[in-house]
Formats: sequence, structure tokens, C-alpha cells
Amino acid sequence: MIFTKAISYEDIQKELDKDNDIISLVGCETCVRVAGSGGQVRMKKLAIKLREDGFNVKDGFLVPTACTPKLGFAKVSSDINTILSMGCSAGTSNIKRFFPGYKVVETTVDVGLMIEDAKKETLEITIPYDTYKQEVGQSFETFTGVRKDSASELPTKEAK
Amino acid sequence: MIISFRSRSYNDLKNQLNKDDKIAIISCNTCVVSCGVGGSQAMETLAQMLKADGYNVIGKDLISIACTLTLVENHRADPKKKEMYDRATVIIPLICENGLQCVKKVFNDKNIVTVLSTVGTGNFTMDNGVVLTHPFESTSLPQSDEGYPLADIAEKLGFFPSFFDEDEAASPDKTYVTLTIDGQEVVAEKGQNLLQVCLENGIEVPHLCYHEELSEAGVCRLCLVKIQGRRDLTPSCCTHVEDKMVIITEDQELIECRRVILELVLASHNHSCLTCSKGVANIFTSCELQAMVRKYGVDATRYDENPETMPIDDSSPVIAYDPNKCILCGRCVRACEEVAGMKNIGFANRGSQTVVVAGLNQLMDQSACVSCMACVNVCPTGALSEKYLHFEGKDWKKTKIYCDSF
Repeated sequence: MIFTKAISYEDIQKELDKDNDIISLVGCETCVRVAGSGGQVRMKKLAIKLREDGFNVKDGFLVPTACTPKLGFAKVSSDINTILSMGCSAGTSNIKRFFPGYKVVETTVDVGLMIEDAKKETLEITIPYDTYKQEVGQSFETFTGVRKDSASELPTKEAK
Repeated sequence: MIISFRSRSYNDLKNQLNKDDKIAIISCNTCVVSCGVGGSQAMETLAQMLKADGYNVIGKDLISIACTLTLVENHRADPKKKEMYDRATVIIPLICENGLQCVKKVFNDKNIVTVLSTVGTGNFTMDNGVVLTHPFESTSLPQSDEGYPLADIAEKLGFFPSFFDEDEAASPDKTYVTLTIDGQEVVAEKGQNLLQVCLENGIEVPHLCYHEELSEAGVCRLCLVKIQGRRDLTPSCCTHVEDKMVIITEDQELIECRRVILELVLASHNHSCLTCSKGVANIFTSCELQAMVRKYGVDATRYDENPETMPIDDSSPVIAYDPNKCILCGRCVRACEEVAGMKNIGFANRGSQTVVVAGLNQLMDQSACVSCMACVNVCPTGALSEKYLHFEGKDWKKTKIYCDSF
């Protein structure tokens, strides 16, 4: 599975235009949900928060895997011009291919690959991208992505 | 999706093995299958090659998701597989380098001989198959939303573009038998599953409980055939071929028999349905029951339909379970035990009250389900299906999406 970190709300907001963007959220229910940076709960929170802040969020779609043609089940309406991707980077690439001409804004950043221990409800990073190479072997809580053994945060997108 | 290639030649693999090694081949059933380097078929190919070259392959094991440590642990602890794993001295994992970390933790007392390398993440596309979009920095390839087709970059990265080629191994030392199916002479390996032999030879025999990745059950009775010399109709999914067998897979009596079985299945619950992601056949899945009903021209059932409806379990974030669409074929029960290693799904009650339940008759999300989808992948109807969701409105109301076209 792919470990992703959620991009901060402020950084997502910076990429959006209140006046012109008509937004649909498209997300995946596999790795990003397990890593705590996507899934139903986070999608709803993000959509409601954006609406409260004046953004034109029309609807959202969740498919089992955004990195496969199952993405085609997301029937994004023709009056949408912006898609907020709640998948990993590979899922976002698929969204860009599936929906050419749309502005696509990422909400997660890939950290690397992870394994899951369902009994302990932990995730362990096994093969990180270079930016996160110091995270090898680090454990995080399943479904929240909160670090298990310290309060320190993963580097932000800017640091990457 | 995690992208992996075969990184070892067959000769190199053999050099890592000794003839007295007791070899177990294990495979993940997700990304590596899409990449063409894993899955049950790949395990079988490699096992046959190694056996033909005199190596002692003592077993194979398919794991639904090998990057979930719990599942790998459960497979090793499974009483039915314990003997194989206790005897094994070498494990060959057809598993990406990420899942390999689980294998190393669980099989730390074994010699693990790897054959795959992982290079990054990517997509499964309709036009180019699997493509690599986000390579690891070690590949020196830039990220690409279009992605790199695997065949194009295998050589560039120093890997093999496909799985092992059977021609590289010696001819397998197998005993073959000749049988006659519907008047056609067929050669098969002695002891092979009769239904599988029929399917491999283009002879369509209807079946709902049989699945090639699972053990034989023989519960749906749709694959009944006539075997010369046997008095009763025989389920082909539980019959193993013998020399000079003469088989009839379809005649008026068998067609009538299958129609009655299908009518009884339809009467068991309301199966006149299209409201699930399998309702309309698409590239991922289709309702096998509906296909069979259409094939045999069963428009309606002559039997009284069971009016009882059971509550739909919508508790899992990824799996929708509608017991009203369940035909009790038991594929999910076997998949959860054999492929997931979880034994989280089973039958409850008896007779006409029999129902498939999760955990101790709990909701899916209150049970031990790890959402590995092993059950969903084998369900022949819409009883267990993946969730596709749409949210809209002021309160972000959720509705399910069904496949209308693809």
C-alpha cells in the first residue's frame, strides 16, 4: 500500500479560486483511507469546510481504487471545472488522464510504501521516496496517519 | 498500484536453489497480478517449471494482500497450511518489495529467494495496461501522468518484461489421460479437475460455487454432467479425470436439471435485480447468476419466492453486503479462509435459514474484516460488491452508484 500525508487545508485553499472554480471531490477508498489522508470521513470534512469558507463545492465521488479504470464510475458533471483529488499521486495521474481539461488539485502527497498490521492497527513505512527516507521503519496509526511514538509531524509539502 | 518487475532470470533463480530444498511459492493477489508477475497462474507456472527441473516444490499459497502483516501471519498459522510451512526450507515470494517486508517478518526462519523488484507506483489503464507514473528516484525516471508502459521500460531499468517462460524449463514429467467430452477427444493431466479441463478446452459448463483459486465445494450442482458407467449425475467441479472417461456435459435432461436449480435459486430470494455494481456486465465484474439465467432462458421461477428480506449491511466503508442476493455458494467463505486467511465469513443457521455472516453474526465493520476484498472478488452475484459512492447536497448525502455503462 501507498502511504500518503494529507496536504494542509491552508495549502489546498491556496490552489482554489472562490469565484471561478466549480469543484467536485474525487477520492479513493484504499491506501489513502488506511493512511488517514482520504476516505469518506475526510472527504466530507473537507467539502463542508470549503463550502463554509465560500468555495463552490458541488459534489463528491468515492471509488474503490482511483489508480484503475474503476475511476470511470465517477461521473463528474459537465458543469464542474475543478477536481480535488483525494487519491495518492498515482490516483491523481489517473484523474488527470480521465478528466482532461479539468483543473486538478492534489490533497495528499506520497511519502512511500507501507505495510499494515491490522492487529496492532499500525502502519509502517518500508520504502519511502527520497524526501522521506528518514521515515523508514516509522509507525503510524491506521486510519489517522498519526505517528505512534512521537508528536512530531511529517515534513510538509513545502519542505519537500 | 505498486509496480514490480521480474528481476531474476530462471537460471539465476535455479542457482539460488538446491535440489534438496523444500520450496513453498507464495503470491500476493493484488498489484503483482496486474503487473503480470504474480497470482495463482504465475505460481502454478513457476511450480511446474521447478518441478520439471527436479526441484521439490511442496506447495503454493495465494494471499489476498501481502502488505497486510496480519494476513501473512494468519496464512502461516493456518492449521491446513502449517505442515507445508513447517517443512518448507525456502520461500519464493511473488510479492512486491513492500509486501516482502511482511514475508521477512513472518518467515524469518526460512531462506527467502526473491524474484521481483519494485520500482514505484502507477495505474492500470484501459489503453496501455499497467503504467508506471511515479518511479522511485533510484530509477532516474521523471514522474509522468501519462505513465510508462511496463514493456517499454523493463529493459531500460534492467528487468524482464514478462514472467518466467515455461520453455526455459525441462518438459514436465506428467501423466496424461485421454477422455471424450461431448464426442470430442481431449488430453488432460491425470487427476486434473474435470470442470477445469472442460473450460480449458472451450467446453462451457455452468457453475457458480467453483472458482479456480479456491478449494472444491460442489454445492451449487449446476455443473452436473453424465459420466459413462456412473448411475447418477456427477458434479464436474469435484471430479478428477481418469483415462478413457466418456462425459456428456449437456443434453436435454441436464438442461432441464439446470433450469430447475436456477429457478430454485431465483425463488430463494429476490434475484430479479440490477441494482448493484455487478448488475450490468462491465470490464471488472458481472453477475454470473444473471448471465446463467439468460443463457438458460429462465424468465421466471415456478416456485413461490421467499418473501423474507434481510437487512443490507452497509457498515463497511468499502464492501456492500446484501444477503438477499446471496445464493449460498460459499465462495466468499472459502476465499476468506483460504486467500485472506481470516476465517471472518461463515455460514450461520441451518436449512432454509442459512445465511452468510461476518464475524460472530456481526456487522461487517464490527467484525475482524480487513477489507482485503478476497470475498468480493469471487462473489458470483451482487451479494458482496465494492462500493461506488456519490455525495451531494447541503448535508453531503451519500448514494450508491451503479454501473450504467463502460
